[in-house]
Amino acid sequence: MSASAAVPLEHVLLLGAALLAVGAFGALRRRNLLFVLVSIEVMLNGAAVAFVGAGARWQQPDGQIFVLFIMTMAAAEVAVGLALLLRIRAVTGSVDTSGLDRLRG
Amino acid sequence: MPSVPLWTIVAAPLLGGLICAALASRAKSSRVDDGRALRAAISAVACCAVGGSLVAGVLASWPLFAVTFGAAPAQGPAALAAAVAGNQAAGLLSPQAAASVDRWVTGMPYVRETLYTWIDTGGIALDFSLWLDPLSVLMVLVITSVGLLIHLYAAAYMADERDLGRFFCYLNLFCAAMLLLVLGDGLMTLFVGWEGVGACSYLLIGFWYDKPANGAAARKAFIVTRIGDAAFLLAMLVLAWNFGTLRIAEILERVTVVWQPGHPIALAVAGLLLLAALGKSAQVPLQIWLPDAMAGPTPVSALLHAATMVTAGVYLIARCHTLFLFAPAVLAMTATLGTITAISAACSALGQRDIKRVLAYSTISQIGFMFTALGVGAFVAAMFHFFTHAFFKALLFLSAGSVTHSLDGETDITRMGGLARRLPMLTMLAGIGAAALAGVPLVTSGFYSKDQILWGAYQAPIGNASMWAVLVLTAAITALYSMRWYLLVFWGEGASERAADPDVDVGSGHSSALHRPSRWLLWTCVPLAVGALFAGFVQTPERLGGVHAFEQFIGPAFLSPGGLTLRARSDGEGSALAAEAEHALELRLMSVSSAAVVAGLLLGFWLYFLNPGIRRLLRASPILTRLRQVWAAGWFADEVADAMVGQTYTTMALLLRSDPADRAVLGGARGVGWAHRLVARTQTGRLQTYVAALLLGVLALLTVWLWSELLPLWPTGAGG
Amino acid sequence: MGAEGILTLLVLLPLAGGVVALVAGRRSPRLARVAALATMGAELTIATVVALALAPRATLGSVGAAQPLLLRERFEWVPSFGIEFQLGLDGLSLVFVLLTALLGTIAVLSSWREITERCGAYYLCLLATLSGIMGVFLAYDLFLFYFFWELMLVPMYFLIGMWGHERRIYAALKFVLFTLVSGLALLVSIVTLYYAHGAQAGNFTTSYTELLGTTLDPQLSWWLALGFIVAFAVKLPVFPLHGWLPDAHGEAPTGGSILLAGLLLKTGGYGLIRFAVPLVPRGAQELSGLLAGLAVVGVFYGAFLALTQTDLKRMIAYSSVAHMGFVMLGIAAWSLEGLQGAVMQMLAHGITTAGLFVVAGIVKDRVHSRSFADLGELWGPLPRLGVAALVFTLANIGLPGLGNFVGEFLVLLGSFRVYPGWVMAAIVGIVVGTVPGLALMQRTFYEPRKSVEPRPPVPDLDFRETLVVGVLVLLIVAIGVWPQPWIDATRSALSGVLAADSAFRPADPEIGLSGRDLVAFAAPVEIVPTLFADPAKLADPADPADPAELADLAKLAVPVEQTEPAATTSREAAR
Repeated sequence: MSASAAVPLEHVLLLGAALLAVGAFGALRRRNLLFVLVSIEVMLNGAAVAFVGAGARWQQPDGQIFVLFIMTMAAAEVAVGLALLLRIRAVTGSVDTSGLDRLRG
Repeated sequence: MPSVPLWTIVAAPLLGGLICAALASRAKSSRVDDGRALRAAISAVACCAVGGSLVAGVLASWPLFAVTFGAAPAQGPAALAAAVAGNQAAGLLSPQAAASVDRWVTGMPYVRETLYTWIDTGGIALDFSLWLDPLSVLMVLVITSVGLLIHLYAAAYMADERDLGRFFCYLNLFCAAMLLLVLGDGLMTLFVGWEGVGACSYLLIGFWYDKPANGAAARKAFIVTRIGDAAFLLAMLVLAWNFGTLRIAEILERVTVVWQPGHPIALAVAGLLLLAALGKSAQVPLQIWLPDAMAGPTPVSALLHAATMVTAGVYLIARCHTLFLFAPAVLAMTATLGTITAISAACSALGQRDIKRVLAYSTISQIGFMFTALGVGAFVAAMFHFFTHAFFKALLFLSAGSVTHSLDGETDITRMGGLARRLPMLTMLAGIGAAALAGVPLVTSGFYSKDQILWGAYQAPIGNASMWAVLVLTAAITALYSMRWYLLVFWGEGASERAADPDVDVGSGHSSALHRPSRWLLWTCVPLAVGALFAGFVQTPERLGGVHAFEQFIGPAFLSPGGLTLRARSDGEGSALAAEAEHALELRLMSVSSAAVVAGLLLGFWLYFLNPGIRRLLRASPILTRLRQVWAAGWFADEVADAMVGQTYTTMALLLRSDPADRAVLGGARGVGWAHRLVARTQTGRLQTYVAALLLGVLALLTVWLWSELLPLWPTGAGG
Repeated sequence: MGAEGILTLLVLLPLAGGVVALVAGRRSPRLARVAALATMGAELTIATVVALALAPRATLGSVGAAQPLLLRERFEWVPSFGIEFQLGLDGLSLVFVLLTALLGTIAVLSSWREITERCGAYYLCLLATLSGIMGVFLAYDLFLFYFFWELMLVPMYFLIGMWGHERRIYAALKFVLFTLVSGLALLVSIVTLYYAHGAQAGNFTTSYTELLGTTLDPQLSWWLALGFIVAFAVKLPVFPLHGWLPDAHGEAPTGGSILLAGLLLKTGGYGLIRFAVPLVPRGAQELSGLLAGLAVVGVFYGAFLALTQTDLKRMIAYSSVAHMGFVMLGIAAWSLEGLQGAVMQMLAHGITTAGLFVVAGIVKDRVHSRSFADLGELWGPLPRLGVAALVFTLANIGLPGLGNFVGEFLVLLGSFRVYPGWVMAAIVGIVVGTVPGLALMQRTFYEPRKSVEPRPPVPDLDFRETLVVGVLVLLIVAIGVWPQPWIDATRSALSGVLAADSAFRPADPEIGLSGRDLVAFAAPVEIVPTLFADPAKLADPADPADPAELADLAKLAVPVEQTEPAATTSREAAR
């Protein structure tokens, strides 16, 4: 309670939003698939920060539970993502996203 | 006297045509040599069919003759036909023979026969029925008798034709259609025949289909006459709408009760029927098809385009004359157009070099005379001229055919000549025809009938002196071109001897290779020649015997219900003195016109026989040369028509060729295609683009949501 | 007739026969042909027997009676939606059922030698289309009608797309797109009408007879009429919506062309007469003036386009557009004569155009081309075909004594009172239409060939071909000479349709001279036009020249239940 009072919720949310924005920017901007995955992790962390902040503000455990969920899911997602990354590298010889447009209309 | 049903008159040639067609399909499969018997059979069937029709026509019309000439003996010293009918057949002219004859409201005898109901919609009933009155009797007898002679002629003339069966099939079908036309009781029945003759004419003009020009001529004839047919159809609609029936007799009866002269619908109907007649009878401005129609075999030209079909317009106006009496303006129009046609076509005939085209233009011109007569109200004169014209024009065409036949297909009259010595009989026959066409006074039928028209043009209610003067001039020109035609073809030197003439392009002289026309060809023309000479004596002017057999017979057909007539100009008709003065005037006018004809003949004789050299001098004159070019081109009517109608039509067709309406509709489909391509472009296949779009979308939605939902709450600070 | 289920049999027999043909086709193509022919022979026999048995009753039906149905069959289908399997036969249907059976047989016969590949499948498609067409002419339930309407499209798509000529894929696609749009318009209209009627009457049903009396709000009525009319106008086709026709007719195999021209187009006209106008009379009335105009434009448009075609089949197709214009005109006039004319025109056009397509098929079989550049000089080797083509052409251009003239004349007669201006234009259109007709004969049979390539010998018609064209020629002559049985057969049915919507009176033509104007113009009229005069309208035109009288006449012309006073006054003001 007292700790949370030191850091206002607005600041926490701003941090989360900033992380999300940075992650989104990276995910969109980077061509390297590895960095895209990293950026997505950053975005997830942005959401996690918001959950933590909100949990602290309303003194509810839900926020932290969600953060745990996010971390678990992120790990699973990274595992699948990295597997795909390796596969793509094996097939195309690169991890550049700009070549992956076979679904173009 | 057995009573013959009217339908047999039509059925005989119809059946003949079908048999010919059946035989023709057999002829295809058989060998050429074996085909001879078959070909003879085809000719025989065709001729017998028309002959049968003639017999049926005579038998069927006998009661009408009996009624006219038997009941009331003809007055006048030389009632020729009346004598025949009255004396020789006295036993036949019993009341029983006339029993089947009804009398119309005007007292005109007629026979009506209903075959069956063709269309009965509940609102209007169209019978398929036939009607025989003196007018139809005249038409039927002329069609079948002239038709029979032409069929006989054709049997020899077309003997070498490969497709004989097809030819006679068409020819017989034509006769059937024509007879239906003149026997039709209702306008609709008449129209069936009317269109039928048009279709047969199309088939016969294009009979020799290998040459595209023939096909074009056939098409032209059909389409131009169909313009008139469309008017006919419209006239029928107006009449059906007004009277609920298309039976001519019924309409004419009702008309006199319902309308006053000058009634707008009467004007419209009469105008439309006039247009129909103009098309069928090749009158200005629809005359352009007839000269080209000469592309058909000569018997066709003789039968269709001289003697019968082209006079259908005359018949139509005569048949509906009561309607026209209610539209004096249209009658005046008829007379004017007829006069214009007569003189313009006569001039055109003067400029032609094709042996048949001269005759074609002369036909147009002569029918112009008939139209003038109809227009001034001299209906009997018009029919009389039709009657004599059928003989001499058929004779002329058949002679022309014999000439072409003997000259191996040569048709240019400037390259003919000198036939008189070699073919004396043909020369004589053609001479009779040409004389009748020219209207040589006193001895030819053409003189009497043309004189009636001239008299009508001068004296009849709508006629006037200037119209008479124009027609007299036309008669003189007619005499001139008849002379020109006759002399160039038969007299003078042969073509080889005229080689010196620089203006005449000389072919390889035909004098050596002359096919003599067979006796058969010549003898079939003899009855026509007799007709051309003597047919005029059934109706003569007062001072020249005063025979009125023709008028006595056909006159009742031109009485209108209710006694409607055009007001005659000369008052005091009944007084003997006026009549006497009128007869004297008639004689004076006749002298003038006869003088004009003789002058025309003499001029022709001088130019084309006595002093051909003078023509070279005339040719030096630029005005005459120009005039000749204009006349040779038929006043450039073809060019004008082409520019006005033909070009419009082609332009329209070419403009629309790519189906713009379909393109417009497809334009909608194409719009969908464009939209597809536009949207497809956003589908880059790059995940990052999609994510960006997704994020932007979420952002946009959030913004909207925040803006609309949360902003109003802001001042109250309801967050906590 | 104690034959229950005979209508169902008529509808289903071709489909069943098609399945048999498909199976038989596995063994030999010939077997498939025989199976198809046997099926259609049986169908034709049944139809003829039904017609002969019922003709007296069709004729005797009292004029003006509502729905003189001759036969009716109904089974429950989807009761929860009020949908029934309901077939009905009256004089109008009878004519088209006969035509369908006849042309179906002709189509089977004329495909005999043309189709060599996948014969069984071909006949399945052909016969399935015929089932659909038969169903369309017999359906008395709107949903069932829609079902058959779409049923006839699918196999037709395959007929064009699989056995067609060079541009068959394009043509098939175009055909399907146009007809799908038409079908969609139809479906939307039916569903809307279904709900409108349900909301009003409380029972939701798609039965034709139930839906007939629905009164609709004017605006809705207008939209519904538009939907129905667009649906049927695409099929007929009416002028700007005809784009699919030349391609489909031109590219389809002979049998397909016969079905398309002879029958499919007629479903459009039939739909207009049976469904569009009676179901939504008010909206149809407002659109009728426009339709009459489009009809006449189509007459000219088709004629002009036919002339410039270089392909025999496309030329025939475009001339169909012109002839269907007359059908549309007759329907737009909505008078007894006009409708009888439209039916006669459809009947005769079905026969002549089918005949011309048979001719085109035989020509293609002999010369291996449909282009006028390769045709010509065919009269010599094929005289019998030439005669047939001549008769069909002359019939097509409206020669009296042949079937089409009866139709055209009645259409003009029936429309003249309503649209004199358009009728005059249409008459000119007949002349214009003569040109391509003659050009067809000329270019195919008479004129010298343009191409110089040697032509293989052209054998004359065999027995089968002679039979096919011979039957059609005889029929068209018979109809032309003796049309009365057909007129009698349809009269009571058409009067019934006319009576079904007393509300419908064609709108005053906006363009051209109206009949009433003519009456006024032609004053003094002493006689009441007996034939066409609507007694209510022209009660006693003692002195129609009087302006007050005229205004009265004008008022009477406006439908009695007109609820928009603005329209009435504006019309009067315009006068």
